Amino acid sequence: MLPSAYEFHWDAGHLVFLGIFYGVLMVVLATLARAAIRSRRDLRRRREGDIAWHEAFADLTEERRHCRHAFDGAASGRVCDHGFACDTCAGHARLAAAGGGDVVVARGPRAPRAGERLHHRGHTWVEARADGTFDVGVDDILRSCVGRPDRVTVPGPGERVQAGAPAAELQRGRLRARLVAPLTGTVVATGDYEGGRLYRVRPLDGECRLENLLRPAEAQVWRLRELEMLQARLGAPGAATALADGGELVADLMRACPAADWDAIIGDLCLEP
Amino acid sequence: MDHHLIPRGLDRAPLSRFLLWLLPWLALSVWGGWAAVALFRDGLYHTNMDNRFAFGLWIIFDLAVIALGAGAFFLGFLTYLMRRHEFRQVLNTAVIVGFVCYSGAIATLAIDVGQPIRAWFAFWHANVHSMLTEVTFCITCYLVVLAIEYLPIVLKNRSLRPVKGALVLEANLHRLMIVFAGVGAFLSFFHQGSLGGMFGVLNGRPFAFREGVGIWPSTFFLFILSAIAAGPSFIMLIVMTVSRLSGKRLVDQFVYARLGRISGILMAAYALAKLADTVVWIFVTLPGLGFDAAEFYRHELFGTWVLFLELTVFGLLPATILLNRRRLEDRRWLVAGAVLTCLGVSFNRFVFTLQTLSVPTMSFDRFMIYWPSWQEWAVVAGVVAYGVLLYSFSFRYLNLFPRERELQPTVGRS
Repeated sequence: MLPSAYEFHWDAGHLVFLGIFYGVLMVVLATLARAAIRSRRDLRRRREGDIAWHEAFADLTEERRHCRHAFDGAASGRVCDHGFACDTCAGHARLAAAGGGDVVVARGPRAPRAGERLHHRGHTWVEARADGTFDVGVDDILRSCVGRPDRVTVPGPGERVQAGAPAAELQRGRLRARLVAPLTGTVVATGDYEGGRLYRVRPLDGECRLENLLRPAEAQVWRLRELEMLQARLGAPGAATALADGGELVADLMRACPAADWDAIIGDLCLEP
Repeated sequence: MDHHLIPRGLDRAPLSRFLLWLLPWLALSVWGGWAAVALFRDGLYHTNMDNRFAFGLWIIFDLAVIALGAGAFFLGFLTYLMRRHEFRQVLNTAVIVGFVCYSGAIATLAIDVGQPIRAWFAFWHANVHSMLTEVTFCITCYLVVLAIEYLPIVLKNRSLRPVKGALVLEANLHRLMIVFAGVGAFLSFFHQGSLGGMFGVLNGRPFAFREGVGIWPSTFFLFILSAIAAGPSFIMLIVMTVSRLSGKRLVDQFVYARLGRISGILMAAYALAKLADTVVWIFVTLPGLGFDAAEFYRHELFGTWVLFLELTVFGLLPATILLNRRRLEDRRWLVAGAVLTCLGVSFNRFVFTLQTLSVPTMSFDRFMIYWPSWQEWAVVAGVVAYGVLLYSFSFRYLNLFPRERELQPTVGRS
């Protein structure tokens, strides 16, 4: 229905009616085109890792999004809405400046000492080395769950990994555990899964965001909560969670509890809803 | 077998049971498809419509599903523009139900109008003086918007997540969703109104003819009001039904109560407006045209009970139920209020379509009634089956309810 069509008349009715209709159509098409252009730009700038993390984070249950200050006792029950990006979180800055809670007394944006392990809540850790690089590994909880994977995929030397984006993968049977990178940097060497290390990274200056990782004292509390969660998931349906009586996780939980919904458990552990 | 397609942590029925559930709906859709082919091939000869009943079952069905599907635009409007974030819990369902309702209505209309290869005539050779042109433009445009809103829900399927392009497009569409929600609200507002306006301007049919504001008869506003009253109730009933069938809590209880409350407020406004409209119609409009309202209710099938039912049982009663806070907390009352609201809006569309055509308007006319042929029923059954199939697949493979996992009592063994 354009001026070329024989029914068209240059009167107010035609102009207003068709003007509104084509206006709406243009808004829809323009918005769609904008989404397509933005997507192309994001792919060119390799922002898919960042986007994947934000998308996954938005779908996490509240139980998986506890703020680190819920672990140190400064703000129990606080839930993160910030993608665990403590370095840009005003709440974290305020709480950290106040000295944290009872569990962690003092914390500041200091560089980790060599040999110190920082933990990502996707069950990976980073360990600082004297030469400024970091080893990245899988923590004992995930290792106990997955047991002996059929295949371990890690990024090769020279590849860039981005904090929050999937970087490595453990596969056991049809189950895949995608491990997100705990920091941004360039892979300089690959490690040995059996030895607990996956790869070594040289962090990108100003972009590695180590401040977002849990320090050992916080990680201790977080680990206990993760074990509680695991216990609840492995329990019989409807059964109340009993008090843990200590002990160590068995080496191959998947084999020990084959009836459990491991797909969901691994998704929860690896922050992949 | 299809475990890798089901969202993580969501418990779904075994594939064999799911396929068994699909079977009757597939049979119905095949029946509908068969009738549709016959209708496309031979024309409306297969229907019981004629020159008197140019509008039949299909139009009643279209008007009803478009009104019930209003939950999609209205909840989108409330969530994105009014920032009522609690409705995010049912928004995906609202979008899919809206998509099903509008695509189903357009499919039925396509069969009714026929000549699908000339479908573009409606746009190119548009009659700008017709309310139906506005309806045609708006519902096709809005179906495109609903398809765009549906796309990110599909792209979030776990098998598509590793696809970089799909992930990034989904995120960007989601960021711009407020624009689509706004456009959807604009389009829906006008076509819901124009569907009512279409009846209100029929000055040769005094049963439907109404006066109003400017070029818009009162039915324009009544149709909008009744649709946005019924939309949230319909979404609530769909979610409750799915929850019952799947044996799972899908949304927080307070969401049902809020949907019910919104429906109640709007239903109260609609019932009062409808009452005022009826009074004006009886005492001002009809006498002005030389008619007496009693003439339209003289026939056994459409007696005064129709008016009574519309105004009270399907109007004031559900409004009273849904406005009562204590009743909103009681699941049985909530369902009763929502069912009456949805039945009310469907009954209103039935009355406006059928009674308008049945009652005589000329002295030589006589009362006539129409009963749909099996082909007409088959097309409606096929569209309903298509809706159930699409929603069933969506529920199984897409994460429709963001709180579903958290609301399950235990998340242990599968």
